[in-house]
Amino acid sequence: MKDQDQKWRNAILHGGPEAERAFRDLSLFYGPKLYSQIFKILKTDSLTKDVLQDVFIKIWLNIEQFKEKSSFYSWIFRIAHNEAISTFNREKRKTAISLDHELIEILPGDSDLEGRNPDQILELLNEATDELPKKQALVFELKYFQGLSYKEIQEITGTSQGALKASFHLAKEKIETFLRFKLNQLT
Amino acid sequence: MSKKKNILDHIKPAKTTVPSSDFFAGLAAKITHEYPKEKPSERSIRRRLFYFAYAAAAILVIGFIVFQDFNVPVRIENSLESNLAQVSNAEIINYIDRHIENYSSEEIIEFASVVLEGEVDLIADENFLPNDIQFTDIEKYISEEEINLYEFYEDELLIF
Repeated sequence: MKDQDQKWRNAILHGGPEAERAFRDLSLFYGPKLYSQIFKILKTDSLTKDVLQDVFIKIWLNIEQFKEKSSFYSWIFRIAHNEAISTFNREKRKTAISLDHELIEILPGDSDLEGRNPDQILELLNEATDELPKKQALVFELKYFQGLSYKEIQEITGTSQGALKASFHLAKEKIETFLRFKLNQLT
Repeated sequence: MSKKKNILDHIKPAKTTVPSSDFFAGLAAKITHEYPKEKPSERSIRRRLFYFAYAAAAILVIGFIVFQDFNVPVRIENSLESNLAQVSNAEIINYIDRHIENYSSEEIIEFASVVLEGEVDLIADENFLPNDIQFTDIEKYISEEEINLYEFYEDELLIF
């Protein structure tokens, strides 16, 4: 657990005005990352904000349950992922979730991707990410979707850059296998 | 020979437009306002009061039973009962309030745990859940209520 996360956690556990300040700083730091992560699954601003609020309520109320077995961001990443997926499944039953705008662009040059709908590819990507081990999924999210450098991811997760590169490489290989298999099934 | 590109090299994620920092600050303020957290000192005093209340109640009950069992002369028993009856709940709480700092948390918890033992045994009893509950019922309940198992400690999930 990195020092800043530790300070925020301790301050929140102590309660009072210091806890509120720490929670505000934590929200400002992790909020945009969590927003991007959730938005990728839910695709609408209003739903994303609702889920983000639920995620932050859980962090605020349950922070003592974080046992420091993983990085703090891994813990909140998992909460956000679970909340987003359960909302996605619930909303999907009601009506198809419409895109505010395209979240991925398909570049020419790969025959399996030609003529595909970006939204369909994004859903497959989300499915593929869901199949990854927790740590690989986290690294993939931060590197591929959020475009962070390995140095930035190292600061968040506390994992060495070498291990992060290996993790990202493995994730890419697994996702490629998954995507090609699914796309060939669809044709 | 050129290296074959990964399929992901042909999929470019678009940059998500995130809300301004005001949104995140406002969200944090809203949550801390709606779910205020007390300082631990306030919490621990309240917890100690809770244990002390149990302890005080236990003293009254044990005292009553002891005097019954040893055939204490009726006059003395009546006197004790009459004295106890004269002590109001408010007086007990005031007494606890004044003297709570004379006892350590460990002493209070140790004493209260004896009093609470019966209740804990009830929960630990294997018949606490009805015998006809099946795993499928539990799974159905979890699914219908959309309970998120990641919110629980591993220890809490061992019952599954």
